[in-house]
Amino acid sequence: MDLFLVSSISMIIFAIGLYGIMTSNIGIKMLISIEILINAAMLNLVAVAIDFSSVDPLILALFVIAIAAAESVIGISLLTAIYRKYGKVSLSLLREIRW
Amino acid sequence: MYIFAWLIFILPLISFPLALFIGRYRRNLAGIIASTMIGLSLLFSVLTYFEVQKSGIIYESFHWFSNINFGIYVDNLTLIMLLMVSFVSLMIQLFSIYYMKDDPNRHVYFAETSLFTAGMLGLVESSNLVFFFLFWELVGLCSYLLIGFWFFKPNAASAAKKAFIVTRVGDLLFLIGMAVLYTSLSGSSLLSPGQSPLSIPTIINLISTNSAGFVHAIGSTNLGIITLLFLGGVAGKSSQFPLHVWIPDAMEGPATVSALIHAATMVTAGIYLVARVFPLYEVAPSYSLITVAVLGAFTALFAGILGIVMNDIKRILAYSTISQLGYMLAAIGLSGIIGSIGVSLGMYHLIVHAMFKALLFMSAGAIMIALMDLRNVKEMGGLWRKMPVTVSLMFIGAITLAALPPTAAFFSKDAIIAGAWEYFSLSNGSIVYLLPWIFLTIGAFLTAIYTFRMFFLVALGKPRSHLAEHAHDAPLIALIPLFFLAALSLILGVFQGGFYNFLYPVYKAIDPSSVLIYSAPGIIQYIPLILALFGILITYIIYGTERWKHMDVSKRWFYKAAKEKFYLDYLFTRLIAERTIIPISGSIADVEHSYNRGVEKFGTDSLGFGSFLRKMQTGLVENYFLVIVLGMTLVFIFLIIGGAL
Repeated sequence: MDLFLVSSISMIIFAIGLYGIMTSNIGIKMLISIEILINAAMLNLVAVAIDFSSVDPLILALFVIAIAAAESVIGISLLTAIYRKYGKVSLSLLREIRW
Repeated sequence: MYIFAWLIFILPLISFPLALFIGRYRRNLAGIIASTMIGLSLLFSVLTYFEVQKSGIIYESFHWFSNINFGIYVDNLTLIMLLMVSFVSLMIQLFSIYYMKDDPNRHVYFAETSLFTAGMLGLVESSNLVFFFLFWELVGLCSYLLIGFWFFKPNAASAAKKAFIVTRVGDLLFLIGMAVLYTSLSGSSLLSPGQSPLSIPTIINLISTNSAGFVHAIGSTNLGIITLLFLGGVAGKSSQFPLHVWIPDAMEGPATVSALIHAATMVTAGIYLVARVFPLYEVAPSYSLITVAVLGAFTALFAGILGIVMNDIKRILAYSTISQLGYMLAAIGLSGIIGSIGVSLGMYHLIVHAMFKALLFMSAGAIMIALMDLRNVKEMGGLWRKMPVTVSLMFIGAITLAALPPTAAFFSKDAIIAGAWEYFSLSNGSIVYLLPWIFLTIGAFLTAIYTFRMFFLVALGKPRSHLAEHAHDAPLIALIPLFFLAALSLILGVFQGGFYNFLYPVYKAIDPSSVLIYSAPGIIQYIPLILALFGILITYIIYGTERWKHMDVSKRWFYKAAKEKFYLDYLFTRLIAERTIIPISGSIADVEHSYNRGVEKFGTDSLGFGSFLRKMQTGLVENYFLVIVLGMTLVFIFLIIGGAL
């Protein structure tokens, strides 16, 4: 497998995630986009691991999976709380935190 | 630990809040509380006296901070002061109960006098110059409070401020002197670690064991500077020549306060300071003790001249206090040549002076009560017949002040004058060494004149005002303290030799010569007495009759100058304060103002920048992402340019 090819795919996926984050205002959608971003990065890690035949990036990838899981748990619970309060999950509701 | 010695100054300190708060509800209790506490102080002073006689000097101290220890140091010199201060204060407190009986704020008065006495007793006992200074300031504060006790009188308010500010000038000099002493001694190898360079016993021991090493460690010039700066503090507190201007104005307070300030506390603190750190003066260059002697003697003369032209009964007494303090300081200064006996002479005069000056002030107070606060002696007259007891007591005070033979001051003051002659005859004959004797002898003459001028105007002739015609003695019970003081003024002379012997061990380590009571040769010995009698004769001729009414000296330039106090007040307020200090402090205030504005501007600028930064927190998640992406892009661009990728 060509490293360049995998990296390109990863870059495309990353761009999709970025697009998703920057265009949406819905919490759930943004969370999914973040997952896509993380997966793009992990794909890259795995490709590098195979290309350099090293295990270290794989261990890193495992950590990232665990952290991503925890992060999405926190994100989902926050969004649930926001939904309970406002009836929607639009993040533009959360403007009270600013100055 | 000998607890009684500590209690001596702690008890009046306790009585300060007690008298204030209990006295608020029970006015009459305040005086009783204050008197009881000071009475206990007197009792403990006596107990401490016996303790010191039995087991030697008491020195106890606690660690305070760095190398400053808080402690008490009680030797024979301290004991004398303790006994005198607590006894005279007790007498004054007892008389105050009568004197202040109609004042609505008498609880405040008794609280403040207690604090005053506590400050003085603490000052006397302190083992460290820093604590000495703390109590020294406490005494200054109380004098401010008490002189301005009748603060609704504008005179009293300004007199209080004047006393505070003038003594502050001296205090600053004293403080600088302490700083010089600290810096020049603290690095020296003479001190073991933890030993404070400002501790009085340390200084005394160092000098007595190794005076040459001590002088070497500090440096002769520094010692001269330190002693002269201390002398500045003494001049402020004990009202010596240039800084004496606050004392006559301080007469605006109650008469008992004047008695307290002039007899037991405050002004004697300065004399005590010189006596306490006398070892420093002993090893300092000779000019500092010469300065002390000449300054004291000159003050004695100068205040004597001013005392003659005053008409206010209390101001006459105030100038006599300045003059007598000059005698004490001069006596200490004489020690430069005649040995440490000079200090004993000064201290003895201090004790005697405390007795008769308290007596004089309180009898003046009794007269003022009888005359509805009339203070002009020219409006009194004939009071000896109207209030025989009070004026007789005053007569005892007057003959003591004028140093006539049977009284105590005859012994103390003539010993000083004889010492001054001894000073001259033992010196190399320079005119400077003769100055103290000349000044002090003329001073004795002037003392007799102003004292008996006051006394004759008060006591003899016909009553010259309506008030004086209807004066009556105070109730005898109120005058009991005055009887004690009068008795002591008369008989204290008996203890002269014993006193010198008692005080001698304090300075023994420095000067091994034996105790000598000087008697000047032949006719010189009798000059002060002859002059005093001559002065009394003159004053009797002029003031014992109505002759003075036909004299008009108000045109003479010398009289005018003396009446204006030789323009010293003018010099201080108009020239020094208004022309010099105020412009300087004004310009300093301008500098400070612009500095403050700079600080303020920096603050407002920071606030503005902060509120600008705050705008970046939009609360819009998209914006944050945008910033993140832009940042990442920038990082990549830099990495690419840097050739890392």
